[in-house]
Formats: sequence, C-alpha cells, structure tokens
Amino acid sequence: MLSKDTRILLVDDVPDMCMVLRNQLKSLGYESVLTAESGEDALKLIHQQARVGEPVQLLLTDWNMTGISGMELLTRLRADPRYSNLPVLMITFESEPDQALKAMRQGVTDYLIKPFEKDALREKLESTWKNRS
Amino acid sequence: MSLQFQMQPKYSIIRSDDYTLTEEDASACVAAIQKQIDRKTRRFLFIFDFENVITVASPVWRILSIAAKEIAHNQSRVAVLAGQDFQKQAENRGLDEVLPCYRSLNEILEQPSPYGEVNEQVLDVLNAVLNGTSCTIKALAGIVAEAGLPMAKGKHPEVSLGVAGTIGLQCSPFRGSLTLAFPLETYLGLTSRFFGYEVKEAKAESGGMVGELLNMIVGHSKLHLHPKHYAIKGTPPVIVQGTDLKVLHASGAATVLVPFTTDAGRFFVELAGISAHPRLR
Repeated sequence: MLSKDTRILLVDDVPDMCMVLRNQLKSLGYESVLTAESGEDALKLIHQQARVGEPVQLLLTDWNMTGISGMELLTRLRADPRYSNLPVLMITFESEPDQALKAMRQGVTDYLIKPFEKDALREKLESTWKNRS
Repeated sequence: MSLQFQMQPKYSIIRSDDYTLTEEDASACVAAIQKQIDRKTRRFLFIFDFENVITVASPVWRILSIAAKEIAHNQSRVAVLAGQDFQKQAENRGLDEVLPCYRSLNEILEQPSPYGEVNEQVLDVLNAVLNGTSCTIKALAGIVAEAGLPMAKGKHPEVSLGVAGTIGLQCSPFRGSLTLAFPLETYLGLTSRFFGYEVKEAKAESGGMVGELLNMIVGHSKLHLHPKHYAIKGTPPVIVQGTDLKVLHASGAATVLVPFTTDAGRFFVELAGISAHPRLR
C-alpha cells in the first residue's frame, strides 16, 4: 500500500492545475509531494532527487504539456535503466480508447482521465503503486 | 379532476376545464409529462391549457415549476395558455420565466425554440457539455453545479462577468463554440475550493484554470459521445479576465445559454452553433 511518505512527483504545465492536484493529494494524506511545471523541470528534479538519495517513487504527470509532453517524459524515463521501473500514472483528457492503448504500449503503469474525484485519484495511485514492476 | 390530454406530432396539450387547479391535477400533469419524457421525447412542446383556471392552490405552483424544469432539462419547452388571473399569479410568484404564459395557441406555436433550429445531434452535444460541466465542477471543487433552464441568449438579464473562456468545437453534427463565463465572485469562490485556500483576486495567470475546465468538459463530452461516433475536436481555449466582460457571438448564431448554480455562486455555459468564435471583450 502506498504510504503517506511516498515521494510523489506531480507534473503539470498549468500552474493552477498543479495546485488543484496538489490540494487533492494533500487532502488524501500524501505528505511528500514534489511539483514541476514542465517535463524538462520534471527530468531535472528526478535526476536531482536520485543524486541526493531521495528518489522520486511515483510520477503523476499530465499528458498534454508544452515542451516535453507527458508521453515524451515517459519515453525518456523508460529508456533510462535507472527509471525504467518508476511507476507512472498519466493524467489526460484524451479519452479515446486508442489514446489509452498508446500510453499503455509506451509503458505507462496506469492512466486517469480528467476530470476525476479525489477518491478515483487515490484508487489509481494505489493501483499504480501495486502494479509497479 | 377534469384534465384532458391532446397529442399532436410536435406538441401535447394538457387542459383543465375547472376554475381551480388542484394538487391532484398538477400531479396528473406531471405524470403525463413524465410518460412523454420516458419515451425519450426531445424538443417537444408541452402546452398547459389553463385558460379557464382562476384559482391555483399554493402547492400546485411548486409542482408545476418542478415539472417545467424537468421539461427544460430534457430540451423540451413548456408554455401556458392562460388568462390574466393565472398570468398575474405566476408573475407574483416569480414563475413567469419558468411557466411562460400566452394568450393564444398561435402565439405559442410562433415562438422559436430556445434551442434554435438545431437537430438532435446538436442536442446530444449540448447534453454532453452540460453533464461534463457538472461532473468537472463536482470532481474539482467537490460541490454540486446544477444546470438551470436553458434559454436563448439574450433572454437572461446581463450579469457582470469577471472571467470568461471559450473553446472552438468541431464535430460532424456541430461546429461552434463553448463558452464558460463567471462573475468574479463565483470565480474566486470556485478557485478557492479548487485550491483548498481562499483566493482573493483573479491573477493574470489564473485564467489557465478556465482553460483546463473547458478542456476537461470537452474531454468528458468526447468520452460520452464516442459511442455515437461524434469525433469532437476542441481548439485551444481563449481566456479573458476583466471588469464587466461581455460574450458576443457572431450575429445570427443560435446560442443557448444555461445558467449553473453552485454554493460558490452562479456561472454560465453558452453553446453557440456557429462557425466563428465569439468575441470576448
């Protein structure tokens, strides 16, 4: 089970949405939440956390981002042996089934379609954690 | 009880020959309407012929206004054929918008539908958008956003808006735009709920939230319309903030405005069936 101390990195390029999700995570009891407002910043933060011995343990990222998109971020992480097993929960409003399939093929652990209530977020976080390889 | 029902291809008349409208009459009206709605009748016109009615028992008004709202939620319309006494009582109770009164059947039939000349598919889009709006607000703010009566744009009194955003929509049955418009107080109230702390002013960059809401509503609509093979595409949202904003659509655009009520205040959804974006100013 996901503990409240699990280091979760939340990535969304819309600062307000980052705030909304952070608020939802906080209200669910997750205390160790890091945020990044771009895919580029997320990569830097992931490397930096690994260097200081406090690695990101779960990545919660938006799909549609300017610059490095959620899918691009996922591809880069999966190509790096250090992060190939990092559980990734992708958030999207791309609700067509083929988009979800594409994400699964790319190695996303699970995905969640916006809008979602915080109970749905908790369930997905738990299943992402449980299904980590 | 002396209610008579007359069915026509595009409308139903429910007539009372009594001078007094009782609770029993009103409940029978509701049952008749419900039966029609259960048959998935849409864009139907329900006419209450209360021309002879002079006295209306107090609880009846509540039953009739609930019935009228139910009708509106199903994209149908209600009109009342009424004498001056009934009309005055409806006005005094502030129900003249919910139960619009007319003096003749011709006058009722000449009224344009608030949904404009649109087809069933466009109504599917409207339903998906309204449902998406309620779901999105509920998911992010944890509060209920209840859709009010849809009406033609211009029928609703102007409200001072502080933040508004619009997104172009394209799909096979529909080309137009979806607009979310918030009075400043509502916007601040909603964002306070979204963020979990009190927001006292709308910052320049906070329009991003409205863009996200629009994208989520469109995403939700896509999901719900996918089985019907409507390939909806949304353009990037355009957001404006300011004082006394107005949402203007291209002339001739059939625009449906739906007010939403929440604990944080009212806001508005506009669906314009046109090829151009509305201008926000």
